[in-house]
Amino acid sequence: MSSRLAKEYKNVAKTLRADQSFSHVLSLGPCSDDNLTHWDAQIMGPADTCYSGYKFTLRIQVTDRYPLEPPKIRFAPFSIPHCNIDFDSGRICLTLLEQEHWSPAWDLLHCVQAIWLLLANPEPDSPLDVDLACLLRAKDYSAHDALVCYYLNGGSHGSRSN
Amino acid sequence: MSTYEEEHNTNRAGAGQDARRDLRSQIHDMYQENGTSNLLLQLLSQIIPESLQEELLQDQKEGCPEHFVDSLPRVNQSKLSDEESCSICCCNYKEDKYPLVVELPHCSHRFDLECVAVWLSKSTSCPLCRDDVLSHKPKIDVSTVEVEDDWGMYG
Repeated sequence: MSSRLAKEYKNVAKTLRADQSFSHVLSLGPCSDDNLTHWDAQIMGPADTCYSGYKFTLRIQVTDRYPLEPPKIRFAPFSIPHCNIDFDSGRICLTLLEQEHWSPAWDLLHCVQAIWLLLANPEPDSPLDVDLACLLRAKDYSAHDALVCYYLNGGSHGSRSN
Repeated sequence: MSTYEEEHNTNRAGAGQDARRDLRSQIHDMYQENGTSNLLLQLLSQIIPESLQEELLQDQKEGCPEHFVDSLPRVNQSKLSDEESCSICCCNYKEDKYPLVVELPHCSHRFDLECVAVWLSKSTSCPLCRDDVLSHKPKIDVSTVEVEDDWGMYG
């Protein structure tokens, strides 16, 4: 299925240039040209969230069985505080990325898009970061946002772009 | 202190248990292999109450039976537009001189037979809309199965 990845590689560059609705995806491509199984992506934090103004790196690993199997996607470790993301490992809890909810009609760009949407729409009922989820469930949004900002400014690998 | 197994000179994970587990997995395999065959279903449908039948059918969520995939309607080349491509391999259908394209029932989404066959061997949902392709399966017709009165006991 590497031909499919090669096709995606070609199309992604085109889509990112032409389609304004993906303007928050700064880059998406294989780490090296001779190996299409490892990709990197850079996304901007969504506007009107605590992540706004920060850049985040996604590490994407594609198996031989792609697109019949979902890609393995993580954030760079210690980079993003979010109730559905494990801060230490960068693991993401998103049903789309699990085998039983995956569909081969998805491509890497739309996976990245789904993860970007997750940043703005945390789902506290299936948390990987219990502290942040508890604050959301208690509807204490100011405490939640303050804690996220604290992490982003402290141990973050993301950098403010302005 | 010695354990119960040592004192009684037995081994819980003994050979007997292994053999039993083998047999169980064999039966399990057999059921999996034939679970979707109509004949077995028809036979089973005679002895299992209808309410239970539904539950049993729902258990077989792993992929579609081969004959289902084989029976998917082919799409004639003349009905394919020039831009249409398979969303699994992202290849344009017309790039192939003899494209083998099938249409899923109900949602009518199209794919290369080769691509969708691999997917449907593990799943029962349409890759594009997640429609359960088997959910509209016709009911098993039990009326055609003849039940012998004497259960074949008297030769």
